[in-house]
Amino acid sequence: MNMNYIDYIADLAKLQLNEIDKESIQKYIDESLRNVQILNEIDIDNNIMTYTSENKAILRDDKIKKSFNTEKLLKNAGNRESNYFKIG
Amino acid sequence: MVLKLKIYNLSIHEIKNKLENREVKAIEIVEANLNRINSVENKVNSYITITEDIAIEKAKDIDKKINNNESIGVLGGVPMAIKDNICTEGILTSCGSKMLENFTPPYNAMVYEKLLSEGGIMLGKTNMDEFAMGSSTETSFYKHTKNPWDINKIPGGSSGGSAAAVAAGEAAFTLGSDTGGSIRQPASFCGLVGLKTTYGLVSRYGLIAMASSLDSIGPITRNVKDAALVLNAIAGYDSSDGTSINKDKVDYLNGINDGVKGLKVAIPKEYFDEDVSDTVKKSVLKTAEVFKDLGAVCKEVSLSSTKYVMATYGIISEAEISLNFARFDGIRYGHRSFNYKDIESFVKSSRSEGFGSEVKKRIMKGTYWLSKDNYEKYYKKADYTRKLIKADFNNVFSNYDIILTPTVATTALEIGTNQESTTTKKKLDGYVAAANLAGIPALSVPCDFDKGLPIGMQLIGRAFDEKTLLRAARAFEKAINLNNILST
Repeated sequence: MNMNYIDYIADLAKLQLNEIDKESIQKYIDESLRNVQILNEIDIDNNIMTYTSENKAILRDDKIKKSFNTEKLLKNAGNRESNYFKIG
Repeated sequence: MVLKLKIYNLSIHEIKNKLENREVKAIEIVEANLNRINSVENKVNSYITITEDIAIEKAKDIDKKINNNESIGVLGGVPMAIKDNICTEGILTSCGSKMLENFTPPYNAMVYEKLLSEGGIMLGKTNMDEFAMGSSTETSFYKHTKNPWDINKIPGGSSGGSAAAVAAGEAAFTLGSDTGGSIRQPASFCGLVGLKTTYGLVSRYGLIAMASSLDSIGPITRNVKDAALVLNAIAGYDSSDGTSINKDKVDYLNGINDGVKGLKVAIPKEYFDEDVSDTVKKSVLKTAEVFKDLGAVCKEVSLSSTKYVMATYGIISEAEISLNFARFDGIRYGHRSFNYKDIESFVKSSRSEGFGSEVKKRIMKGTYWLSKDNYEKYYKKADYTRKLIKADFNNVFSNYDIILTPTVATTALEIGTNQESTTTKKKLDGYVAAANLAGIPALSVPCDFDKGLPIGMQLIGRAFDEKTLLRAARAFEKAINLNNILST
């Protein structure tokens, strides 16, 4: 994979990478691309449907529930103004 | 040295007996563990945070209850530690990352809440690979945990701190999380029982997600009965976790000593390939003989989808990582950069300064798998292959009750071993990740030793059939009695 593509992915992932990081990630992705070639042996058959969980989509009633304490939630923020998170 | 005589090395059941018979007080147990932590922690590095004051206060409270003949819960007076990716209100929960070095959760994870309500005594938070990404606990931002059996070896990972703490006598049990083997692999390296639970059995509410469709929480204990007891405490439906399954409550201790007569054990040939060391192969195959002697039927089977496991696991887990980790933007919690000029550079700098290189690599790869050009080619294919892997297990389980394999291809590796190569990755994780893809339970039990280092065998079971797994593991454990050989 070329470096321009690494830059494109880094931008999507909201990461700033130095040259050393980029080179190591390039090697890592190239190796992974070789390793996942084995999946080319498989053809997708849309008739096979098995699920990994018994889970079904769950919707809850639209009722007001007890929520978190605002002060506690804001305690982890780097900056705040009144009851809001502040960026910068 | 026979550590069994030491208070800090008692099993949960032994602690319960001693408390019940009033041979020892909860405060004495906790102090023995805290003293043990004081004397070995600088060598082992199991903990990120030690909550000494909380532990002492809770122990005194338990002793008061015992004196007043009040109920203390099934884990009353038992010292425990929790992996640092499980939220504990008011206690640092760092996930082994610089990103969360100042994060104190505003609420408790459901599992922690349940353990507290059953009387468990919190000793602290255990070290882990950064955000659970790793197999050796070496990607932690804070410290390298050592294997108590040989401090030049890795304890495994990502729940390496949780495993090392139990093995070193620094807690009676711990909780870990398992996304692709992160409970079973360190349990194997540290000579302990590690249980990865069925997806949906134990609430993930308050577990800081790595890959949401693979993550499960489970216990690391000194023996199988202890694992069943902790599972009793943490299993059950939770409406706060959208993937929790509502099932009737099961008592995992009930019938645990019923043995394995007539149990059908499948031994998949693909799990004994050339990457598994001869010693591990021999030891695990020897366990099949023990099962046969106990009345089980063991037969070789094929799980032909095994060759797709690592590729499928890589794509699915990294794709989910890239989505889950978008939440770390430096605004509401987590590391915040001062090096920015606009909102875009604020988010990018905060993330880039806060995450370590392993996390960045996996986010990058996951973003790649999910990008417009690659989604169909990689992610969709992996998602489909995951279904084939699940179907392959179902097929075996239509004729067999459990599957027996090695947990890891080798005993614990040297600290600093390069884990970048595909073969090393497969040796460390290649035999454990399939259970996560299939959402089924699996546990590792010590089965032998090689040059003083423990070897674990893995038992894999049907979804929600932890009971059979625990019964089989217990029968084996009783038969070979490895508990007599203990770590120093």
